Amino acid sequence: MISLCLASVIIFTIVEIAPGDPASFMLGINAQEDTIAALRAELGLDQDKLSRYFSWISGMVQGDFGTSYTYRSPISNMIADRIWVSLPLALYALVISTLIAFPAGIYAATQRGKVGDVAVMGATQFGIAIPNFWFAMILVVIFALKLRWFSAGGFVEWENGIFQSIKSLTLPAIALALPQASILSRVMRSALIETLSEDYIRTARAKGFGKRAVIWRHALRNALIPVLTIIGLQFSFLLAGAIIIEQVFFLPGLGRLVFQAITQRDLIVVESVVMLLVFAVITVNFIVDIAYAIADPRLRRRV
Amino acid sequence: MSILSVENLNLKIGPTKILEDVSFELNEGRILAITGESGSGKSMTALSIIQLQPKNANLEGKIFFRDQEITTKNEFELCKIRGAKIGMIFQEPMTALNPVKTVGDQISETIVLHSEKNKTSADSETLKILERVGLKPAIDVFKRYPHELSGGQRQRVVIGIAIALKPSIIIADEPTTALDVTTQSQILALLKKLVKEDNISMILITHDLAVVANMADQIAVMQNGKIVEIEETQKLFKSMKHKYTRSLFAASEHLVELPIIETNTDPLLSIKNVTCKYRLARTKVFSKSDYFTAVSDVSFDIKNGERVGLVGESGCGKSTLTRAILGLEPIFEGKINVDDVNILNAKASIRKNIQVVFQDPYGSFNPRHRVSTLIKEPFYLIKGSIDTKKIENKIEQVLEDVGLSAADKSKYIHEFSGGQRQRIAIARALIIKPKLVIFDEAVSALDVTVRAQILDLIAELAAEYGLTYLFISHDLSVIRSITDRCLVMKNGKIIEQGLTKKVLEQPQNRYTKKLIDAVPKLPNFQMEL
Repeated sequence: MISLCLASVIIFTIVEIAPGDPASFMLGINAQEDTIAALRAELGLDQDKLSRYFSWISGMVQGDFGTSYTYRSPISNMIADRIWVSLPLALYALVISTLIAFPAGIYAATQRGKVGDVAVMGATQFGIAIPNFWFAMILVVIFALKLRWFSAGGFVEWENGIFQSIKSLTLPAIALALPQASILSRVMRSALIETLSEDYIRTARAKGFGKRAVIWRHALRNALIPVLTIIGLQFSFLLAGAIIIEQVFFLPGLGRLVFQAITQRDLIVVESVVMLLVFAVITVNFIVDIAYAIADPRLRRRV
Repeated sequence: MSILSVENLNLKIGPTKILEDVSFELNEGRILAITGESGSGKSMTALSIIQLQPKNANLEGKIFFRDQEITTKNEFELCKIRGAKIGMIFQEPMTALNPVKTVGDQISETIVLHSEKNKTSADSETLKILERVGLKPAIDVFKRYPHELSGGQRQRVVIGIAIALKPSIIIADEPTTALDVTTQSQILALLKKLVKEDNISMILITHDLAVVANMADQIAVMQNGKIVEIEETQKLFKSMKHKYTRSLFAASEHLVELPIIETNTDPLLSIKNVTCKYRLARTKVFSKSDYFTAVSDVSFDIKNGERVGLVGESGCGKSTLTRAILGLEPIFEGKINVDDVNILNAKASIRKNIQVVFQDPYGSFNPRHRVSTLIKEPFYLIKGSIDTKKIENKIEQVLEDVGLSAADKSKYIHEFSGGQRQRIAIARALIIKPKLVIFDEAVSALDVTVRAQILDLIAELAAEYGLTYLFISHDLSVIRSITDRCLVMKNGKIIEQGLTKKVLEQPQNRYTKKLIDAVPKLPNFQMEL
């Protein structure tokens, strides 16, 4: 809650400091002074900053994000349309990155120092180094232009079939997930290697568990704690990364909305969307905290 | 009849020989103790028996469990023996249990793994096992996590895992080393009882000769990866054929000659009605937080030239008191004065009067600094610049005083053994000639022989430097040999104090008596030399 309030102040201040007056931008270069002033009054830009801040905040608490300067339509509707692209995209990418990283990390840890480990680590080094927009374009060239398995861009609305929509999000999600999957598998590997050297792993082996059973029954849950931290951090990277990827794939998501709003000085849209993203990140971190407590009983407080 | 026989075991890690021609037999229903200093290959022998030696180790030789050759078995067959036929108990109860599983599950999964039983019947058997190892009420303990149990309780759980399937052999690797004396005697008694009841043969690995003497039927003494002597307990104590065995025994009965120093009457350190409290985590958001009293109303003085011991079990408040004396711990009530100046928030000129030697010789040095940098650190407490040449001279001097050579100053800490590191720690404490030195469990992590050397060194330095010190230890024999006066602490209070000899020979307090009785004693066999 406190972090949300702080974030709102910071976002508001920074966006207000940024140069460019929305009213004069909307009316073009040749607009007359009094027309601009009239528009400023209509948009509420002539009020002092403090009262604008409070009307923005109080509106947002009630679910009213205000009205876009450029489109003259309620921002809540614009966000509602687009969040159903961006949120599934980020989650999809998160799932893909986890699905790649867990087996890769576990495999590398068990093969530590052997060929398999070196191969996985080399591949992840590559994955981290490649910029994801470039990788996105390569994906388009191969899978959309050459193989024609996917369309090169655009989004099929959910009403036209869930499967189709997911299909249209697949390439962007893979492009988004690649660097995250690489980082995550490295974290998974090192966390597991460290856990495997713990005394209780030796105890478990002495009980008669095989190498594999020890990993599943004892090591994995302990190794999960650092991995959870990274997953939580990655979610915000995925949301931010979506801005670029949505451009590449021409997806009508929040990222594109922000991008357009910035170029058009549609300040209130920028503020609202960023605020929403902050809210999403904080929520995810909260979920991660709960997940910690489930994974590690030492973090549970006795009631 | 022999149930386990080890024949010519050789183990190499890289070019280093860890085990050399180790052979012994374990007979049914008997307890064989393996003893020796750390690094002598005791633990590696144990791990080799269940084929859990490090991956990069090269093992040769034969190990027979009944009629089965263990070394030639594959992983699947070995897993059927481990846990079911041969149980293991490890040293460190803090880390030997999985922190994210309940202790009940950790016992129960062993039963499920090796028998046809389903989870429910394994659980009910686990409850019986928990009661057998003395963890009651078992229903309650079953659902706990390891961090909710004390060290002794955890070790009982580990024992529970080991006996769960009534194995033929239990290998206990330093099962009580990390525990207090009173807990140690309870755990040893429990082990002895269980082994007898289930007719289990046991290999007991320990560096503590007194433990060995009271538990084992047969003793093997190891040195540098070889068994130098193996004999029935009674015979071994009588004859002690091997030189190393004799030196080991001499070291554990080691008595230090403390120089007599005249004490004057002014208290150097004066502690008056000191109470330290910790705030506990709140149970509800708006509830008042509770306090845990770690040290309650403690008062004592240390005069110039006095050597005082502080004894107590872990959790009795020793460490908190030590930190308070060093000015590192906020005091709730009371006063701690050094030379009549309050230590809390005191300036460097006062702090330089107290130096400390900590327990862990591995963790208390920055590995990236050279020895000279480490030792000269206390000079930062002294105001004004001191000639660097003088400092260098002092470093060399103090290194020689603690039995190292002046050339050691340019080495790094990892190049030294545990005992040598502890010498460096002492050098660091002594270099600015402090008025008071605190030894916080300074010899607890060391082997008997090294411990004896360090105790000798402290006694020597006591004469040379005219040391006044506070020696904190849970080990009564150490306190006996190196202090004039001692304090016994329990639950944050000083319950008995007086001359060390008097307190240890005629204890007045019931707790002190219990503490003294719990110490395992070496038998009084006459050595035939």
